[in-house]
Amino acid sequence: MLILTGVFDFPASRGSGPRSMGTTFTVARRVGQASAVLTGYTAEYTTGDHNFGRLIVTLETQIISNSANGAQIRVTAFYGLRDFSGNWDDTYQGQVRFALLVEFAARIEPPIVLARRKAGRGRALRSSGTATGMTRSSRRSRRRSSRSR
Amino acid sequence: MQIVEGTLGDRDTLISPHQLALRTTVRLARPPTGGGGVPGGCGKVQALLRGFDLAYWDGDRNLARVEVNLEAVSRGNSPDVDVIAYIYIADESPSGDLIMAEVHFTLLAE
Repeated sequence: MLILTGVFDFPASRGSGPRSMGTTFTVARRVGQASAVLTGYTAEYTTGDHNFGRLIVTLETQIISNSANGAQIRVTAFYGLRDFSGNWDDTYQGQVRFALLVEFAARIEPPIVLARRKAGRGRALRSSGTATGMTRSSRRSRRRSSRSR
Repeated sequence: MQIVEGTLGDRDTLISPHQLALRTTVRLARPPTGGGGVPGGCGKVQALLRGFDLAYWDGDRNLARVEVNLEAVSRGNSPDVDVIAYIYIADESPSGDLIMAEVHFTLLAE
């Protein structure tokens, strides 16, 4: 398993919520599963204290491309803090810290092709000369010596 | 390692102050292993927090404490795992406040 970490820094702002920020990670192998989890957060009003109405801190993970050559994983954080007077009218800021857990897909090795044996002879195929420990030149010199005999 | 994402509760469900646990059962692709070699020992599972959405139900209030905790309980050799979220939001008034809660988790199982 691969563990990648990051922080989303939501600057002070008001007028909307929850707000979102995202980042994309690239890994060099095919991914089986991925999920970002919280390692911490900070949520604060920046213009004095206010009542508490609602707090949202959420992460979403999406594998946006995935192949044997690698994968791209998008992590998006949603964050919002508000009271219930007005409509997100109090300035708020915060950080969302996360760890992205990545489980790679099982690696499938290419099948091993064994040289076939000729029936009854127990000898490796002649076409693969090196399989018998003979090179082409050594076979040629053997033929020459048997002709001269 | 098995990784399963899930959600407990939703934005439209009212939670009374006396029932602050949300529970679900997750069925894994295979039973978790890693029970420490104990016969019938529970497989190793862990619920991690992926996020939450918490709010007072009827109007804002002061905040004294906010809390979200997760627990995962494996059932021996079964592929079923119970995930429980314990939630708390309150001010210091003695009357319990109605809240809504949605908790997102990631379940890890060996």
